[in-house]
Amino acid sequence: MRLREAAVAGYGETEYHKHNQQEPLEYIASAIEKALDDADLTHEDVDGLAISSHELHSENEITLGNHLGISGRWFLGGVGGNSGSVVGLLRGATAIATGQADVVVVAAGDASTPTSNMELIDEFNADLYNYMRPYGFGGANGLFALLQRRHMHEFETTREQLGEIALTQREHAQRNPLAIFNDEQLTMEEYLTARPIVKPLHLFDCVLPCGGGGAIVLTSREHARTLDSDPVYLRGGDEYHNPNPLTPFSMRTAFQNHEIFDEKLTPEDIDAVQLYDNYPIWVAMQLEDLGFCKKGDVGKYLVDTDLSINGDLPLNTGGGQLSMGQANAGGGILHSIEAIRQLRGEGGDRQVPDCETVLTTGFGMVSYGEGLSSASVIFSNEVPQGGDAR
Amino acid sequence: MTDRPRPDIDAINRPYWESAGDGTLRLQRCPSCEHVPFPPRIRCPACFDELEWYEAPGTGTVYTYGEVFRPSQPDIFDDVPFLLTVIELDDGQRIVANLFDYATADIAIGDPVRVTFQGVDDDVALPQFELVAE
Repeated sequence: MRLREAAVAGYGETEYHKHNQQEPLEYIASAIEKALDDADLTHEDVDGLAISSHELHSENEITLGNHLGISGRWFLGGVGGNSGSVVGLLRGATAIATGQADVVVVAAGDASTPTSNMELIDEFNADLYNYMRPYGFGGANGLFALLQRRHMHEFETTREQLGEIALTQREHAQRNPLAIFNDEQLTMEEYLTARPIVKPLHLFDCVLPCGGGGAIVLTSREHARTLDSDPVYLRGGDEYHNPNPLTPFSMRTAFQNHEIFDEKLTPEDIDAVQLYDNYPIWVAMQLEDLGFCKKGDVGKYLVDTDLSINGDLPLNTGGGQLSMGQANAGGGILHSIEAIRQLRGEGGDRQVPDCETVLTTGFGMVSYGEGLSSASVIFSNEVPQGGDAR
Repeated sequence: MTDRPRPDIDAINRPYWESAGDGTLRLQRCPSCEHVPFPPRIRCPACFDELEWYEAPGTGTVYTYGEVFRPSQPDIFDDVPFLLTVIELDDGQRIVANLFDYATADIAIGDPVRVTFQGVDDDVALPQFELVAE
C-alpha cells in the first residue's frame, strides 16, 4: 500500500442521537458536508467515495454519490462491516497514490436502535442465522459474552480490570459535547452492579446503538498542503480478514496479523490509541494482539497503565463508542476522526499533550465465533519519511 | 421457551439438520487432512478438498458460556435468563447450544456434556447439550 502519498484534508462528524432525528442518508450527507467545509473543498472537487452503512437499504455508494453530485472513477461499498470506513481510508489513500482519484471522501453512519441492531445481527450472515439465532444468542452481546468468559477463564481476566476501560472512556466523554454520555458519570460500583445483558456482560459493557455519522476527506500530500487546515498523514496501516477460519471462538483476533510496527515504529511511539470499542473485552484483546502487552496479560496491563488523556497511553479520548454511542457503521469512523482531531491540536480540553502519532482501528463482520474483518491506520502530523512499514 | 427460529436448510447443511431431525449428530470431516469444520462448509477450509459426513460421538465439554438476560427475540425467548454455551466436542468442533436443566452457579468450563435434540418442527431439530453426571 502506498498510504504515505495521501493526507487528510478535512473531517466532519454529526452529534450522536440516542433517539434518531434523521434518516441514515441525512446523517451521512451532513457529515460529508461538514468534512468538505472543513477541507475548504466542494462536492465538485470529489472524485472518489467510500460509504459504510447498514441501513441505506436500496441506496449504496453510487446512488448516494448521485444524490450528492459526486462523479468519478473510484467508489467503494463498505468492506468488512464496521471496519469498512478504515478499509476505505486505506484503499482511498491507495487510489490517490495510483491516480485513480484526486479527492476521496470516506463516510459512514446509520440511525440504529438496540432493536434494529439485534435484528441486523440475527440475519447478518448465514452462519449467525443458522447456528446461533436458533439458540437465542442475543446478538453481538451474546457473541462477545462468550468470548469474554473464555478470556476470563484462560487468563484470569476480571470484570473489574475491564471496567477500567469503560470508566476511563466515560471520563473522556465528559469533555466531548458530541457524546451521548457527555453528562453522565460512571463509577466502578455502578459498572459492576449494572443490570446483566448477557453475563458476564452488563449494561455498561455494551454500546448504545444510536444515530449519527462521520466523514473524512483524503487528497494528495501536495494538494493538502495548499488547503487551509493542517494536513494529517497516513504513516501506516493494514487490514486483515478471516483470521481464524479453522478455529471459531479463538482468543486470537485479526489484529495479530497486522504488519504495522517495525524497528522504526513500535507501540512505544504511539501517543494515543483510538480502538474500536464495541465491548471493553474487544479493546483489551486488541491491546494484546497489536503488541501493547503480551497475550493474556491485558488485565494487569489495564490496571498498571494510565489510559487517561494525560496518561501513559490515552485511550479513546472522545469517549469511544461505549460513551459516545455507536451509529452502527459509524462506529468504525468515529475513532479515525478523533485521531485526526487530536493530531490537528483541536482536542480542546481533551487534547493529548505533544500528540504526533495515533493508532486507530475498525472492526466488523461479526460471524460465528468471531469478527471476520479488521483494519488499522497510524496517523501522524509529521510528514512520514520513506516507504510504508510493509 | 416456545418455538425456536428455524434455520435455513441449504445444499451445504442439509445432512446436518436432517440427521439432527432423526436424532443423530452428523458432522463433516475432511478425508485428506482430517480437519473437522463447524459450521458446515462447502469445501475443507484447511485443504480445499471435498468434505464427507460422519456420525460424531456427541460428547464434549463446556468451552465457554454466557447467561442471556436480553435475547434478540424476546417474544420467543421469554423464559430468561437462559444459558448460552459453546461446546467443544471430543473431535474439536465448537458448537453453540443451550444447556438444559442447569444451575448457573454450578456450571464450569470443562464440564462434560452429551448431545440431545430439541424439535423445532417436523423436519428440524436443534442439537442441544446436557450435563453428564460425573
